[in-house]
Amino acid sequence: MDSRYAADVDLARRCAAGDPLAWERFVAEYRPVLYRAADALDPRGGARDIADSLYAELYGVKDGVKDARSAERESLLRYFQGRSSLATWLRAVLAQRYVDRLRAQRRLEPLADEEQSDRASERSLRAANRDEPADPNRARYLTLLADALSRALARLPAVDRLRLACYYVQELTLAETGRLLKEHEATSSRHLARSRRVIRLDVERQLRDAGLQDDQIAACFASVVEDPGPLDLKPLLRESLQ
Amino acid sequence: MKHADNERDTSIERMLARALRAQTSARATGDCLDAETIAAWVDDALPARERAAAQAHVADCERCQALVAAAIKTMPAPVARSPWRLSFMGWLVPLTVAAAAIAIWINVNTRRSAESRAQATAPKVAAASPQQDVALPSATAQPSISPGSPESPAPAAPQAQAPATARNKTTAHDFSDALAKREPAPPVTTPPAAPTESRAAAESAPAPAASPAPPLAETVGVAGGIAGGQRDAASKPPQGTASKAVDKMAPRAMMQGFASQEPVMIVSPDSAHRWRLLDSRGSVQHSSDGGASWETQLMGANVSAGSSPSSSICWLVGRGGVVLLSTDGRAWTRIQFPEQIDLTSIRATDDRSATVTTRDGRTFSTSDRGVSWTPQ
Repeated sequence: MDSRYAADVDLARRCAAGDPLAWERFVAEYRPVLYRAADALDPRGGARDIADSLYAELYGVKDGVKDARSAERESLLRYFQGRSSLATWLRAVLAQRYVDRLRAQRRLEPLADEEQSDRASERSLRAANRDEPADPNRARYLTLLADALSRALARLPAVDRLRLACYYVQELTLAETGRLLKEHEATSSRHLARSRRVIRLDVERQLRDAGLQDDQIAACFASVVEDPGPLDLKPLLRESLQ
Repeated sequence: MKHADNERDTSIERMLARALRAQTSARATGDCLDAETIAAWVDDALPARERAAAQAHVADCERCQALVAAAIKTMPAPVARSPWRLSFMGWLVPLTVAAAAIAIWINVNTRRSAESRAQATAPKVAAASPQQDVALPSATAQPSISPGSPESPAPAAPQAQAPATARNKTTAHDFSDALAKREPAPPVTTPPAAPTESRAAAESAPAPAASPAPPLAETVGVAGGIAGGQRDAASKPPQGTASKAVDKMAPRAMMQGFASQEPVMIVSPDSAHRWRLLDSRGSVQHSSDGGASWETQLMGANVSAGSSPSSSICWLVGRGGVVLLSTDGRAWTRIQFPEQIDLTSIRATDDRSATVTTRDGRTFSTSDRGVSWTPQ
């Protein structure tokens, strides 16, 4: 336990033990934190039901128990160990549940979406090839580029990959990315620019090693810029793995 | 060469999201982080070794990436206060107190010496009209309020001495005349913001004619920016209230457009980082020291307005749907815009979200760094 959070641990333990005064304080101080966090996750209110359910568990009502007063309470707060502030722990638990629900929905719901996206990207690739008969190498260039990019990413230090993922995949802002990695947003920005440069140089080197001339390398990069829509590398990556 | 590198960086950028996603799905290994560990990480309470291990795992685990990203998004935004401002504010109170103490000491000392000199050289004045003793402090106090620099106490001493030495040579009658002549001037009620103008107005022209020209010239650029950054906006009368409106609308993002031949200045919230758009040469310059030195970044850029929500982020817009973004204050990336129309102003909140206004008054917003634009 971090000594900075001793008061939070004390409050959590008293709440878990059923101290009504402690619970009153918890409700006054931390309930708004929980619901603000839910709104931050989904401004349209889609995470509020998760916050409701979490709030019930923090009190000690389990799912499926209809009469809260008759059931024996078992508060979730007993798992709080004080490695962080109570507010941050609540946010992390809420975030965990939110992300897991989204992932579960994605697994259950439309595999069709993914298939559609795959089909769409294959269609766009075919269309690109159809529209540009003058450059029959485009598909090969894209595959080579995607392949090289994948290897370049794998060679980056983990923290650089994480920074890139936070920014490009999770779509955090520079300030949020910097906050996670404990650096100033300008530092995050510089590191991102450096990583992009390192990746580009690595990709260029790999393309040269694959026997491409400078003008062909330029055509490789141009083929991505010319593509008006987002480029889906999944089918390309799949092909390259086969 | 540099241009080609930038284009290739853009290509890499366009492919990164999906390539990274494919990587994380394929490479995820080890145990996922629990909420306790994520919370400790966010609160910067993880030991260095544990944090490095967590980073290594999250770099390749899609679920944990989503978890930490969601946790970070739920954290309240820190209050943006620059260290310079904090240190300055820390010194401001004692400095003000010290300056006030010095000013009072000088004023009192000067008055005492003036009074003692007056009493020594003109005892008749003091003896003949006792009520003028009451008037004396106000006479000596007047010059210290009425000069052009009311904030600086130093000039108060010589100016306070001037009437005192004059008094030494006057008779009681002359002195009361001098007081009577001073009475119409209302030094105490003079607004301290523009003491020179109000005095000039009182002396030479009727009050409405004395409009303070220099401050208005400064607001033209800002007002032009709000109106859309067009040159024809400069012909309209500048409105001070409009610049206040910008401050209220976008406290974090300073936004300006072209006005006359003045370069458009885009100032970041910390005020040290700023960009200026030079209309005549069509170039963009950057300063990281509050405008003391400038470095040219882009030449011939067709940009006319910009917005900087933080010290390293700047958005620029211009003719033909040009949108440029810099996230490190130096390198610029072209952001795609759906229409080839002139963009006249922009308001950005971070490196992903911005709202632009087109020449025909429509507004478009993006929250994904220009991947998609939504008409408002």
